[in-house]
Amino acid sequence: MSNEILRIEDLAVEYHTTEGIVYAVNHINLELNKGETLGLVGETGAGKTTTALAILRLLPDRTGRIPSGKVFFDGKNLLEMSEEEMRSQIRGEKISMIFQDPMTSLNPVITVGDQIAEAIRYHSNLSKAEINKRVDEVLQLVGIPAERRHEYPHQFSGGMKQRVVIAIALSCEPDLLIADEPTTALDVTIQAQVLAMMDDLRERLGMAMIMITHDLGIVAQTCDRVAVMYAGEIIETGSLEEIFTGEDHHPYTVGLFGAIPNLEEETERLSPIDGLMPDPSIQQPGCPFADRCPKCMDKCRDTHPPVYETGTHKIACFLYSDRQEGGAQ
Amino acid sequence: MAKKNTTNQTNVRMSPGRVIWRRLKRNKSAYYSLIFLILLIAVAILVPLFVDEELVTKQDLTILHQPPSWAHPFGTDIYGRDIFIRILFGARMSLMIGIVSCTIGTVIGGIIGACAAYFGGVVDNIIMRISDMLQGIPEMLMSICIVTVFGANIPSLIIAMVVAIIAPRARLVRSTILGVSGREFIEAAKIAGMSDFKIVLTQMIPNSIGPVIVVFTQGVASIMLTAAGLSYLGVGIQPPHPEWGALIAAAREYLRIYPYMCVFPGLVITVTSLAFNLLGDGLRDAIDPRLKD
Amino acid sequence: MENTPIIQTVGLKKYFQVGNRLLHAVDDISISIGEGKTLGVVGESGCGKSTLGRTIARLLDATDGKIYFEGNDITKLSVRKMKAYRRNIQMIFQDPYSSLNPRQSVSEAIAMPLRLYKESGGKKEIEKKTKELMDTVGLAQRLVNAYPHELDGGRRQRVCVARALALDPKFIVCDEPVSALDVSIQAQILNLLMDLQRDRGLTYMFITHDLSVVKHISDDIMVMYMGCCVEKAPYAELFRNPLHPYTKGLLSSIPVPNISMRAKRAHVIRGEVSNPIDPKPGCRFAPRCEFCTEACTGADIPLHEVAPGHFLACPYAEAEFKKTQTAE
Repeated sequence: MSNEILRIEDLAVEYHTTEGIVYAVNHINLELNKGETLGLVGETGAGKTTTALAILRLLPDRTGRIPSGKVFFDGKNLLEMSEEEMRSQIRGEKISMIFQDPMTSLNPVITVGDQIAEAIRYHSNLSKAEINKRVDEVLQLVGIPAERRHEYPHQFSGGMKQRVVIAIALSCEPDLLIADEPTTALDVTIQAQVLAMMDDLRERLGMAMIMITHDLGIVAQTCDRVAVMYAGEIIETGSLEEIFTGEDHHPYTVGLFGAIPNLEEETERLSPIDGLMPDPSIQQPGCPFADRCPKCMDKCRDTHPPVYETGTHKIACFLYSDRQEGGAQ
Repeated sequence: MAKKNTTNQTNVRMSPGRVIWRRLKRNKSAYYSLIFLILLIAVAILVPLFVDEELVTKQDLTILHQPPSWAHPFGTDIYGRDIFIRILFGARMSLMIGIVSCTIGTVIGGIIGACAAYFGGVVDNIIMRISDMLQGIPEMLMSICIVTVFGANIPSLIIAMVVAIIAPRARLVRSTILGVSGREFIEAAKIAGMSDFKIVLTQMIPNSIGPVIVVFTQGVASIMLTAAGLSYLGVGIQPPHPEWGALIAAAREYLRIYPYMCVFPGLVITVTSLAFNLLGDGLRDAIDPRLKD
Repeated sequence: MENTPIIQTVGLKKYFQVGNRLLHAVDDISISIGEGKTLGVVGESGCGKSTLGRTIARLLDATDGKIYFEGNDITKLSVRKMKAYRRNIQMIFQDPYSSLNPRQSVSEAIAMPLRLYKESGGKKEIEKKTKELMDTVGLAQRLVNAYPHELDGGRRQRVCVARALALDPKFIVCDEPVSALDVSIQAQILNLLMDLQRDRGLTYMFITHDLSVVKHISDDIMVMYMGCCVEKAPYAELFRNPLHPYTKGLLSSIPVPNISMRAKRAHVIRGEVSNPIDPKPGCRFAPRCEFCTEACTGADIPLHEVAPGHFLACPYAEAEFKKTQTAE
């Protein structure tokens, strides 16, 4: 309990749009320990970004709603904090987030150094000279020469921009970093650079990280634990070994692994998952994967499967109903 | 690049036009504005069938400057003419000037803008610099000049309004077409062997129409106001024509004693402009809902 | 013995004018693709692979060099003369969201190429062909009147494939056709493309940045960097024996979904792509290469065949490879 930095209980998120309600996240549970990296894996529309935004209470004002759930960070429920507390104590200071597209994450009319300084200034009482020193430190940390602090974002390449974004996120040494597909928009060689850097920084600063991605390769290289998300629900969680080398999996996880073209093996045909993710504006009574599942049973369509666990490996699937039922779902 | 997962089981015949219409209907202010304008235009077209046009100019010295009553809903002016009837006939003028000028200006400006986008290079440069120069001249000033040269009548007013609107329209159409020309479905048409001319006509223009329609409604409102302003200044439509601006101009001196002579035409201009603008806003939201949130 | 290759380029160059300088997008590319084969073109952003595809498809005009289709020189054909070849050279684009006209329904989009040619027949024949094509690519008939905004990325891409097939082409340039799709949908589209190739004897140029995808679908693979070809080999050979430092770096940068590889830190290529405007002669990868020698700068590096079918443009790697050959 004392080692836990984040615990999400029964979180649900809805978007109330003019065209109806979209059930983006349906009662998920997640835990994260200090210094640990959790990979949140899933395809487009699974609800990963929504979950991250919900933790930081950054959902769009007009449409985002959190009808249920608790998000405990270091013991306190973030959902009960005031907006002022969130802004001054949590965002940027204890929990930071980096987004997918470095092109639009930076303000184009402010120099890079000023943007980092702004983040530091907002969360601390350092003098101007101390802030400048810290900016230089942080730039060095992410591998950018300190002289470049006077340059504007458009003068940096995509990979460098993402480093700046990371520098801003880490400038106040947060306890938790949420990285939402941080390297998807980057070339693969630049991605390798940025991931290596993030790994280094994580070790040095000892922070926990939620790595949101659809790339199982990145998960294998950077994460300690994995949570697989589908249609707004977390259908499997476990340690890295359990997910990658374990025998038992949720059928969706099996499908996900089977659909990736493998660099190492020779495969004649890929085995895609038939069909599409279900419509998030309709609440499914049973398992969300039922329509596409090769192992679907009758009861999968009517009843929502509870979470079955073996130690730390949790799977929400009736195939494993012989195991112990886990916590609240 | 945002990826969207749309469902596969909703209505199968939802052309983009129908989707836009549905979204527009949901916007109450835009929808009622549209209804109001349709009614107004219908009334403007049909009014001579029901009301004797002579009443617009016939003076009746027995009912001079009467306040609003059942017989004369907006009152009568200093010549005994029913203001309500004058406003109705004035609608024909104002709306006609607004819609005709806007249409001509948009079509001409649109063709020029499309040429600039299509030919690019030197042609584009020349066209854009000329339009820069045109836009540098204050609109009112230019309109006054034109009207002074050609006389204060309807055709010259229309010419003045068209000239004022060509440059901004050319610019708009040029930029929308340029925006569309980079899209890959244009390349797909080229690869299939479609000629450039056909591409512009069948692929580019239908996809650039959206912003042009939005701006059209706002253009009508703005032209109506400008025309009214010109008439008010005395360089537009002259009395006894019941163009709305002229009505206000004639009532200027009597604002204190017979306010209804000014107020009602003023209200009508305001409400009509507002309706056009609300409709334009609603269209913009309906065509590109992402902008709303 | 070998039939005339379907597509051949000799010294193909495409430069863009930037002010009074030249951006070398494609520099001296010579390829040859036989009938029914797939050439995978791999590289990161800015390497010129998309420009190469568009130049070969004559969407862009080549600055220099030659393009041959079935032995015929199509490099500088006029629009009118090119129309005869358009039936045989088609393209599938990357972004399923902008490669379809939002105002055209599925059937209108697929029929669009057919309507441009009298040979396609009348309305009835076109309708029939459209339905057949929808079947071929796995689109349900009820989607005949659907519009792009109602379809997901995978289905849109199927429409694009159907449209590309409409004229029964021999050669299709696939420009990152699955990069914008989710992994499970990627697999569906890749399988479709491979099935079509097998059933219709299609020839592909498959452009992508994703090495795992290209391995799956290609017979030969060409690796591009800043407009130049740095290595070219049959797919098995390239993966088994990558020689160019960039190819090696590219391969090792890819995060593999295998946790036993975790301890091995990826060989990270340092630095960034340099400026493609008026590049200096010599190897373009030199600034980032840890094996850069004197021989690498100063003069452009030609492609040498170091093993049957395996081409390489790197003096250092070539020398190393020869050493291992003589050692055996």
